Amino acid sequence: MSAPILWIVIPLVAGMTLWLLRRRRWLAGGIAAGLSAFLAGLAAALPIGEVIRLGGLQIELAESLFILGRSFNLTNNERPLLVVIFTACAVWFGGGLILRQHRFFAPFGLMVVSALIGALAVQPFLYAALLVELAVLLSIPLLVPPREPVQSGVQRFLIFQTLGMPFILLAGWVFGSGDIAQIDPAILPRAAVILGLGFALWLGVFPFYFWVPQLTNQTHPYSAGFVLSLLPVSILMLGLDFISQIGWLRASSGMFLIIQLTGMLMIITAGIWAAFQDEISRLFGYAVIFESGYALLSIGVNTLPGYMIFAAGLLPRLLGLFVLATALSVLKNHDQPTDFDHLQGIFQRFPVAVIGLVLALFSMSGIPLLAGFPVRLEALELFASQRPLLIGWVLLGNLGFLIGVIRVLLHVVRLADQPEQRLENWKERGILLIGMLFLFLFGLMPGVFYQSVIFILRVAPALLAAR
Amino acid sequence: MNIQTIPLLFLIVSSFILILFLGWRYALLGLALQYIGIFWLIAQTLPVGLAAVKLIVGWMAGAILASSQVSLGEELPVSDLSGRIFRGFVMIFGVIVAFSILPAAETWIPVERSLLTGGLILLISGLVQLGLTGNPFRLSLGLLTFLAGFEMIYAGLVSSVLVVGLLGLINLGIGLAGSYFILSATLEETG
Repeated sequence: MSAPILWIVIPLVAGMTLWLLRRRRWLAGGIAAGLSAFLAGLAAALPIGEVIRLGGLQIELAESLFILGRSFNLTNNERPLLVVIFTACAVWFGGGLILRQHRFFAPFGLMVVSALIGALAVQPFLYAALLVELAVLLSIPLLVPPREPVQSGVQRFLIFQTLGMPFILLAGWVFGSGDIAQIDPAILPRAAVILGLGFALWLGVFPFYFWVPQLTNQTHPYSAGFVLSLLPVSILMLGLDFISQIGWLRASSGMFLIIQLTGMLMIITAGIWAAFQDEISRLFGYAVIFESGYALLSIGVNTLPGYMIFAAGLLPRLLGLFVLATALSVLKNHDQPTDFDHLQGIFQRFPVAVIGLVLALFSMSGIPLLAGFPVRLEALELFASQRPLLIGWVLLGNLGFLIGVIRVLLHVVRLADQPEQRLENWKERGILLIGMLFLFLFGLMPGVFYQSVIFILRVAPALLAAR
Repeated sequence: MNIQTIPLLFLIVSSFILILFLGWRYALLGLALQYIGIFWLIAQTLPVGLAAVKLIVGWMAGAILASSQVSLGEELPVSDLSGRIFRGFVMIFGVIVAFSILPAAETWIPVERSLLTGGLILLISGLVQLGLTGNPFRLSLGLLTFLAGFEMIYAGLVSSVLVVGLLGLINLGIGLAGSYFILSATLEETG
């Protein structure tokens, strides 16, 4: 038995098997959630590459799996990330049961996760681009449920993700073609530009991000939330892995400056567009862009504290997007429009969903006591110490996003003239309340949660030496 | 005329067919010609078996898309003469751009000239197709063309069996995703 079989092949095979059971949604969703929780538990408990004794049984989990001369490696360094990803999956699949997700959600969700873990594990790393593209293709049935026509947002998602792949493969060919010292020095900056373009297309970096709000507006928020939670996080981790493996990239101060400025532009533009947004589901898309902007800003600082803030920021990001997507899904499942013209009385009909929605958005804005606050504060302090002249622009973006959230708040608290019936069921309230509880717990006790999650940086060990 | 000009002509003609004519029959013809040209050029660099994988996978992806469009039972939107003239000029401009950036591309990417030329033509043709349509069938053809262009260039750089296999899988995946785009509205939720 090897680790890649456990965390890549088994989810893939399980996803394929669940596709056969797709008409039994509860069974398929339950198995997907249970398997994800089990794999997260194994990642937390089972050391890789060491002999484990269970009674009389000896098990050794090998690190590598070889396929056609290439290897998939999962070591102890990847275990914290596996715990985070599979825990997130267990939560999303469990929530998918309560929110009555379509029959392709669980099977294709598991296959997407398998492809993304494969991308993080494959060596040489240029193959990662192909596996990310497979994950994108597998996420199409997730985003477009049966009986629904495809919308332009999903089409553009596919186009931009597919356009990104060749850039990564080309850059991977340059950086992965042997000793960097023997490569023509003139080619390296070009390869870095190509690599940057690839990641920009993948991550929906300014100006390639207009498909993100379209996607969140046109598809079911839960499916969109699942894809937009896992895909950018995996791509960001892949980016860190690239930087960690290629010394020339780590030493390139120009590249980190570009990453920082790109992150800043994403925060500013997402914040400004969010301030003028009249549709909450589109605001969801801008929230994703806003979060990616902060992630890039932290990476661009290129210091250990910067990377630690990036890692610590993953938990509030995943939690905030989950609560936001869940709240929007509750509204969507009850045919409640989310544009500002149709929000009167919504608080009476969906009190818990509305509170969850607003709290998730406030958490992303960095409001105190909520999950996003500690990492936002740290990120802003760090950025201000490095680039004091630019911090005002980041704060402007933050202010824009906050204005957008306050506008949402002002619209959702408008009461209806007649008393309205509450439409949420107890399961929906339960999952939202648990999500909100964690939003507060993360905000009130940041050290407890964030100190454990920063171990995911072991995926990119060379970055831990950054000063 | 150099023998390698013939597959390049195949690629140029197929690009024009894909852009000028919007019906699924013409699209299938264009795609078939395109992959013959690709096979011809790639077979000079990769083993014939691997080049044949690209040919077969490309044809299969095209067949999947066309059969889905036929199953849908809806005709693709037709284009009037002015639209064709416009698209024709865009593609002529695209071919000119491909040839004009060729010398610069050669300094960046060390692959054989014919592969690079064909690859650039298909990359631009794919982008033009993607830019001029919102129809799922046409969009999938655009993605396949763009990827085919990249694959041609990449075949001159990397000759790994796994890469060819995964790229083939992605081509098929795009065909299937396009097919799903076309038919998703007609699928039964509980079926």
